Amino acid sequence: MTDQVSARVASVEQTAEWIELLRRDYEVVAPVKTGKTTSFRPLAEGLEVDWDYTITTIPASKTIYSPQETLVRFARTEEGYRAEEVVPEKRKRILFGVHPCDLHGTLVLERTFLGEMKDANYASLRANYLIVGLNCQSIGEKCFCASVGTGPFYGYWMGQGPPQGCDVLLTDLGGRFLVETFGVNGVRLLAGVEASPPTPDDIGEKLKREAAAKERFRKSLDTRDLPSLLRRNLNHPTWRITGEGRCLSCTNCTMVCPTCFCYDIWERVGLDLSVIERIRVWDSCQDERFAEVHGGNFRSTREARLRQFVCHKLSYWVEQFGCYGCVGCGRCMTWCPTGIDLAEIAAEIRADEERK
Amino acid sequence: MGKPRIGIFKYSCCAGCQFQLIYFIRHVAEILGAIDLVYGKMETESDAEDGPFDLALIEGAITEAEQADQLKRVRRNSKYLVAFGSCATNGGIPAMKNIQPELQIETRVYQDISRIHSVKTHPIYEYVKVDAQVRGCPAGERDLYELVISLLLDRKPNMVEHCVCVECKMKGNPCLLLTENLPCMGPVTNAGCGALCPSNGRACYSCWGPMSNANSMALAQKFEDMGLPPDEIIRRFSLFGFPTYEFHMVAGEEAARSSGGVFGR
Ligand code: SF4
Ligand code: SF4
Ligand code: SF4
Ligand code: SF4
Ligand code: SF4
Repeated sequence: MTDQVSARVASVEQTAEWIELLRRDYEVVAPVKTGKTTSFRPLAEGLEVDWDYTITTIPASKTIYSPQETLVRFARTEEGYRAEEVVPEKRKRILFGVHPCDLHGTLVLERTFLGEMKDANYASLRANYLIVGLNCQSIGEKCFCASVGTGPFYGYWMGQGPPQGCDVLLTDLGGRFLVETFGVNGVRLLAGVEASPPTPDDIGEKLKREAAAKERFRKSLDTRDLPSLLRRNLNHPTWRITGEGRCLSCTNCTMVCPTCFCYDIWERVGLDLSVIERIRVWDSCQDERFAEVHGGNFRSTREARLRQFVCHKLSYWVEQFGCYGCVGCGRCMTWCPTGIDLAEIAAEIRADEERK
Repeated sequence: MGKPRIGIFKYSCCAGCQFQLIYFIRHVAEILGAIDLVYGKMETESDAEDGPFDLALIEGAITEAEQADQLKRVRRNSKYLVAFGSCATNGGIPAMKNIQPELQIETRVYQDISRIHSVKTHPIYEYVKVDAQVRGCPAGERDLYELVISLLLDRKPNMVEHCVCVECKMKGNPCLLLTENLPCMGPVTNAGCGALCPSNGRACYSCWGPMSNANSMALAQKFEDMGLPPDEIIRRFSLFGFPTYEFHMVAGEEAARSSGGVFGR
């Protein structure tokens, strides 16, 4: 590989100047405070990067994989309908300040879209983006990336990690940033930036901060033998009790999950029938109609649907893609109106098995 | 197929859906050229109420025996019959009265009830088979559009059938239930409005009625945990869609209690 890995240290002022420099050539999409929460937004004049955010509502991966996109357009001609490929617009963008859980979340999503089968639409959208990661030191109440292995600092996990996943990685060292670049794109992004090489103290400070961040987790997930634990318990009563008792089939959990890839296909037809657009729209296994097929519905109960979400993330995914479908970001339980928590469900099942 | 023959029928409602329809066909001029409006009290002077129709659009809920009789005739004379707007699809606002005994409601509103022939409010699916529903209060444009297209192409319409939360999250909104402790009905309400209220910081009050098979009990429990008093919870599940199975499971008990109930509770 021709990937160059290099590091330097930039002051807060140098970093701010660098962002301004990037904004000249790119749309910089960064975490920005929006009311009580933080969201990825294009940095416009007057908007500041929220350096201390914990988690955004919508993950970084779904800034790229958007809720609705047109896949193909059919236009009526004299000879009938003609299919026109829709090429997503070319835009130079930087996804900035992405936490390690989300860097891994994007890579997990890409095992679906850019794995054995290449999704041309996703691929051309993705080609617009360079990614600047940010090691995470503001651990949220529901975060458990440390027990999955995807964070809080970016590293190698289940067959993926740097130099893939981001072009530049920042670490806040307190008053200065450690700036690591991966590959040619990273080097190019840093071109023209005045910064000094890191001292052993800087590297030491990074390690110290990583260790300190790991101490701040309040939530965990025991991953020992997890995929087969769930496989063995597909009839555990919690699926029914939690599913029927608390699950609203509202789909919030899957919508905010960085690795959920499911979509539906709709057709939008112009009233004069001259143009037909085939669009893809996020879909969710929590919706009752998701598993409706000719002759029936193979997940007609909430019990079956909740089991699908939890087991897909923590069990089936491993068989399917060789990694977990959960990167421990905590979004699903944060945004579930009734607080359904897949880590708690896994723990409950484990405790029951151990008791037996 | 030639131009589809359309009939529009109005039962108990505010007529807002028909205004929505008139507004829609005014603004999407192609429609008028593409359809044959055979009957509609507000749109035509025709008295051809027996059709036959390719499509009967039904606005409003059934609150009189006479309306039910006519509705059954319309069904027989129509290829497709579509419930149009919340009153027709789920009972809508008129069904709010169902929570109390009919006589009690009538005497509260009218001094002399000798010429009132009302019965309880029924969504039209309780009387005739419905081929599609255009939900909303007033009926929503997205599904209305889908209906017209489907009619022109003679295909099954693909109506929005998930809950409001889906549209809310697609807009990236943080959830009001969690951040503002607001009793949002989004999780049990059929979408199509584009999550209009939550996107403006207001809790959804379910003007589109329930999503099919919504877990209303679980949401009512959540409201209770949030500190909402029982009458507030019942009000939220009886403003729209009271006769539906989904909302009746929460609000129906209160109706039984206020009418003395089966066992005089
Ligand atoms: S099946 Fe469900 S959990 Fe799995 S990716 Fe699709 S929406 Fe997500
Ligand atoms: S399953 Fe939940 S915690 Fe895991 S990655 Fe998805 S949203 Fe995050
Ligand atoms: S967010 Fe919670 S209530 Fe909604 S579908 Fe997911 S688990 Fe069920
Ligand atoms: S604000 Fe309402 S509609 Fe939006 S996600 Fe929350 S419950 Fe659903
Ligand atoms: S959010 Fe709810 S109350 Fe508001 S328009 Fe939509 S369905 Fe009606």
